[in-house]
Amino acid sequence: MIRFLSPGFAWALAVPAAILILYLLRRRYLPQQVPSVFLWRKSVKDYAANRPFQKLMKNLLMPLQLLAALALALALMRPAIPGGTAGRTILVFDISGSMQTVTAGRTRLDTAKEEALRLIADLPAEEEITVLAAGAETERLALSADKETAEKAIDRVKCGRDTADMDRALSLADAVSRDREDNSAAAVVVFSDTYRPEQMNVRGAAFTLRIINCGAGEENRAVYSLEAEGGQAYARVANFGGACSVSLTCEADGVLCDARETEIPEGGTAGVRFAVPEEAKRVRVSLREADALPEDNAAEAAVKHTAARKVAVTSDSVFLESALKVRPDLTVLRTENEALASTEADLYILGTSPMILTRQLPEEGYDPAAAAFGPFSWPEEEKEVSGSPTVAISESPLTGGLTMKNVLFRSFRPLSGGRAAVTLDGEPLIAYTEDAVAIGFDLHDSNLPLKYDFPVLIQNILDWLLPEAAETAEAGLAPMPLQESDVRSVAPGYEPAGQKTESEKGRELTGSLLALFLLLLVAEMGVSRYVH
Amino acid sequence: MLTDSFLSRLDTLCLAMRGRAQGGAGGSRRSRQTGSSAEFSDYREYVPGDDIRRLDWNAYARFDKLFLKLFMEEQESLVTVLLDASASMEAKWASARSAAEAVGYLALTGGDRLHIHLLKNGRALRSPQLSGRAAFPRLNSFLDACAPDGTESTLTEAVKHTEGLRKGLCFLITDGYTEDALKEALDYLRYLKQETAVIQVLSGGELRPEMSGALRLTDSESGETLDLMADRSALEAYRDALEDFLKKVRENCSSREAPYLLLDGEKPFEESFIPLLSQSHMI
Repeated sequence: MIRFLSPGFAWALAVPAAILILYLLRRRYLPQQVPSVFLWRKSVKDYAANRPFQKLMKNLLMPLQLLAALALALALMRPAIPGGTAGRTILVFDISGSMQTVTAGRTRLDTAKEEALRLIADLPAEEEITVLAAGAETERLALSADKETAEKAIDRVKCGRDTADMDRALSLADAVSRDREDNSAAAVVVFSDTYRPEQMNVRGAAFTLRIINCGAGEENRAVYSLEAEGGQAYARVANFGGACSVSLTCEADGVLCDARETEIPEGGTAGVRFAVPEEAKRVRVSLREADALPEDNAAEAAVKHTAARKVAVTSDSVFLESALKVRPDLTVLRTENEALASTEADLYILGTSPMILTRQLPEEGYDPAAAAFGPFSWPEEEKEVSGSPTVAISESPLTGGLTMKNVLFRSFRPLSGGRAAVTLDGEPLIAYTEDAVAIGFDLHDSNLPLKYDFPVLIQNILDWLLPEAAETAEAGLAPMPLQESDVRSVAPGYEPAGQKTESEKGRELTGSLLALFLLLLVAEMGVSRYVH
Repeated sequence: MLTDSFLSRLDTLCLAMRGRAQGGAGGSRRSRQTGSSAEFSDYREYVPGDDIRRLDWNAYARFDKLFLKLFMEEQESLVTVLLDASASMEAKWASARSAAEAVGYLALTGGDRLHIHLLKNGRALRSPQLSGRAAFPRLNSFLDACAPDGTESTLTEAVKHTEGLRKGLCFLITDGYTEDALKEALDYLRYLKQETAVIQVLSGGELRPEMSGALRLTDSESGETLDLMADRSALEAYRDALEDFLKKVRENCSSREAPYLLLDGEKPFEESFIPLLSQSHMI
C-alpha cells in the first residue's frame, strides 16, 4: 500500500481540478454574427485537412496537462511503497526537559513519537528495531524488537527534567549496532530538538546517523533557581524571549504566602525575594503566565533551618570578624587565651602568626607560646619575605575560587604537618587537616585582608570546618536546568546524503513521479506547439 | 446617394458593350442596323425606292454608277442590374447600392434602358423600365425602398426568376458566396445573351477579419453556427480560403468573358469605383 511521506502537499491535487475548470471555462464561446460562415467553414475544413492530427492533438492536450499536474502533486506528497531489505533501526529519543515544549498544543515529544511511528510503518516487516530513551541516563525500552513491540515501547517514552546525555545513548546505540554477526550497518535515528550531527562524540561509529528535528522554536520563561532560608525564599527567573513582566507566586507548605511581579529584559534574568513563614518546611515558586514549556514554570525547595554556631576568637582583627559575619549562623565570641577552657564554641580561632582555626581544643589546653598545635608545627622565628616570592595554590577544599594575585607578605612561618593548600616559594603557607587549619602568617603583615581573596578563603575554611547543617527536607520539584529551558532555537533535521538505509532505497516514488512530470511537460509543450 | 461631383464625373463615361445593340431606336449604341447616324458604315448600289438623299454623287461622277452611302444605325441597349439583396449583403449594402446607382446612372445617361432586379428570397423584384437622365430620381427611389434581408436562397434561383431579359448588358452585384451558384447564374445569363459583368462586394470584415478568442459565428442568412478558436493560425487559414475563393470567382468570370471587379466595402466608394470600372474594362 502506498503511503505519503508529505501528505501536507495534498492541496496540490487541486491543480488538476483547476485545469479542468479552466478548460470548461474556455468552452464558452462569444456569439458573433457574420454575413456568412461559408468561408469560415471552408477555412476550418482546410485547416483540419492540412493538419490531420490537429483534432487528436487538441484532445490530447488536456489529458497531458492533467496528468502532468497530477504527477507533480503526487511527487510533492512523496509517495512511498513500504518494503525493501530488512535491517536494523535504532530509535533514540531525546527525553530532556525541553522536549516537553508545547507548540500548537503538541509537545516536541509527541511530534517525535508521531515521526517515529511513521518511520516504523515504512520499514520492512522483518526490521529489527531498538528504542532508546536518552535522558541523564539512557533507558533501553526495546531491543531488536519487531514493529509491534517497538510501537508499544515508543508509547512508553516519557520526558524528564534533566538534560539528555546523547553521547551515552549513542554509545549504547553503537554497541547495539555492532552486536550482529553480519556486521551490516544499522541506522540510528535521533529524535531531538537540539541535537546536531557535529555534537556526536562516538568514535568509529558503526551506524548511519539521521536526526529528525522535533518542534519549532518558542519563547519561554523559567524559574531556574530557588533557595529558602530564614523566613525568606529567593528565586531567579530567566527570560528566553522578549522583554516582559512576569508574576510569581510563592506557596509555603501548599499555602500561598507571597506574590511578586518583576520585569525581565530580553534574554535576561531577574531575582525575586519572597517572605515565607519561619516554620515553613517547603516552598514552591510558580510563574503565573503560561508559556511553551510549563514544566520549568515552577520549582520547589526545602527551607533551610540552620542552627546557630559559635566561633571563639582570641585575636583582634576587624577583617576577620567581618569575614566571619558573612555566615548568618555564626556568632563571634571574643575571648582570652586564659578563658578558652571555659568557652564553649564550635570553632576556635587561636593566635595570630600562625593563626589556628580548630574545632577542638587540645585536652592539655592551648599554649600560645608553643611552636606546634596538633599536627602542625612551625619555626620559632618568622621568616622575612624578600623580592617577589611565588605563591602557589594547590587544589584543595580551601582554595576554591582563590587567586592570591598581588597578595604580599612581610614575613611568615613555614608550616609543617597537614596538607598544604597554599605555598610561598614552595614552603607551606596555609595547611589543613580534617579538624584544623593553620595560616602561617600574621594577617597584619599581609595585604590579604584587603583583597577579595580573603573572604573567599575564610568562607572556604568555614565550609570545611563548619559545614552548614540544614535540615534535610524531601527533595521536591527541583528547578529545571537553565539549558533545558532555552527553547528558542531548535536544530535542523539532518539526513546524510546517500546514506539512506537499505530499506529506504528505491521505495520512494518521488523521483519517478518528477521524471514523469518532466516527460509529460515536454510532451505537452510539443503538442501545444503543434496545435497552435 | 451619390454626390453631384461624382455624378458629373460619371457624365463623361459610358458603359462598354462588346456586341451590337439590339434595342429600340433612338439610342446611342452602334447596332447591326444601318440607319441615319453620322457614322459611315458601307456602300451599296442604288435600287429604286432608296432615299436619293443618301446617293454619293462623287462616286457617281467617278464610276458613273449610283451608289448609296450607308450609315450606322444607333440604337439603345438594355442594361440590367441584378442586385443581390440577401441578408449577407447587409454589411456592405451601402457599397452595393452605390454601385447599382452608379451603373444605373451610366446606363441612363448613355441613352440605354435600365432595369433593376432585386434578388431576394429566391425571387427577383423588378423595377419599372427606366430610360433617360430624367429617370434617375426614380432609380434612386426604387433603391431607397430596397433593404437586404431574407432567408437562405441561392443566387441561381433568384436569377432564374428574372423576367423580361433581352440581349443586353447585365451587371450582377453580389458577394458571390456559394461559388457554384455564381457559376450557374453566369451560365444562365449567358444563355439569355447577356453581356454580364460581375461586381463582387465584400466588407472590410470579410476581407480582413480581426477577431480573437473563442467565438460562435452565426450566419446572417441561414442562422447556422460555427464554433471557432480565432487564433493566428485560424485567421491565416481564413485568408487562404478567401484568396482561393476570390481566385475561383475570377476564373469563373474570366472563362465566361464576364468582366469582374472586387469592391472593398470599407474603402470610400466614390474614390475607388471609377478606377475599378476602368481596370475591369466595364467603361
